[in-house]
Amino acid sequence: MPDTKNTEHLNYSEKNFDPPTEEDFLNSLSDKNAHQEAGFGTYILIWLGLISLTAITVALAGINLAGLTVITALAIAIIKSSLVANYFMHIKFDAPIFKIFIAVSLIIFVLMIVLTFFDLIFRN
Amino acid sequence: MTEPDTLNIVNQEHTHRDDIGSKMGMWLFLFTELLLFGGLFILYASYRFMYKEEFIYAATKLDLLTGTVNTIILLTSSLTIVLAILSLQKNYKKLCLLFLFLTVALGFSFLINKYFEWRAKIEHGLFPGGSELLNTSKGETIFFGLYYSMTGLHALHVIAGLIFILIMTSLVYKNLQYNTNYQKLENSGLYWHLVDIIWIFLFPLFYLIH
Repeated sequence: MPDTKNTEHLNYSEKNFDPPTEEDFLNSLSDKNAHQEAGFGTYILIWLGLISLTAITVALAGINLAGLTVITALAIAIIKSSLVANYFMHIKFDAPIFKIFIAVSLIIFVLMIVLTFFDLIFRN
Repeated sequence: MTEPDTLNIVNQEHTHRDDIGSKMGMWLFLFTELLLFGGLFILYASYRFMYKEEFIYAATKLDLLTGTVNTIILLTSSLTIVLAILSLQKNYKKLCLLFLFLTVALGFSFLINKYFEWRAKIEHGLFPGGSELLNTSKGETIFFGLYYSMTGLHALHVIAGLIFILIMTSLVYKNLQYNTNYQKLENSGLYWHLVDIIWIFLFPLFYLIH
């Protein structure tokens, strides 16, 4: 029985088109289209962005931001690594399953940090 | 429930190769690396929480210029490997080899920089059990212990990444990786980017907190 929520599937059966094959599924997973979206120019722009963020974070380290020093440095590091992951590692153009992978492992990692700090902060 | 009878069609045209599976496997491996370094990052965060003043003082003893130069070197090597993959996809083999050589050269210059940085620290007695470090506070000793283990483990990853990229260079040279079959090269690229991301976090935590 076709899933009634899936309108695409209904269209296939109504118009007597072939249902999606496994090959279509595999094509939908692959990143064949990714490289049309990211060319030499895109990568060089991302690299320029990364270098500028490095310059900003080094310049900010010379200024006394009191309690905010570590937070701003880490925020810039997070922006930089998300640029690397999204563009250089293709996550932006990859199938959703890879984004789910990353989300799950990052949530586990953050949970480990939070639980450790619960212990540290309330130890005494 | 009926299964579409297409299971055997897909792989008839070419030999068994599962690029998506290969990439997924690589990502799963990268997550184990995240936990390996993650444990050390949590250790760093905990000790920084306990010895805040000592950590800030100890960080002033690191050379900001060397750290910044190494950051730029690694970011640039990330760019050159991604351009190498793109060149191979567009069937520019010579350009791909050039970018791979550039990546290897940048990786080696990172290691050379690291060597001189560590040597300068060790000459000043700043190593676990060293004359200078024995006379300082406990927090500072812990800071340098973490500095050596985290940047040391990272340097080992740079060496591993360089070995992978050198192997990939020979595969590209021998036409074993080409415009429609490049997953091995791409996986090595993913590893190299992960090494870069780890450094993106190591750099502010050790060099920029003073």
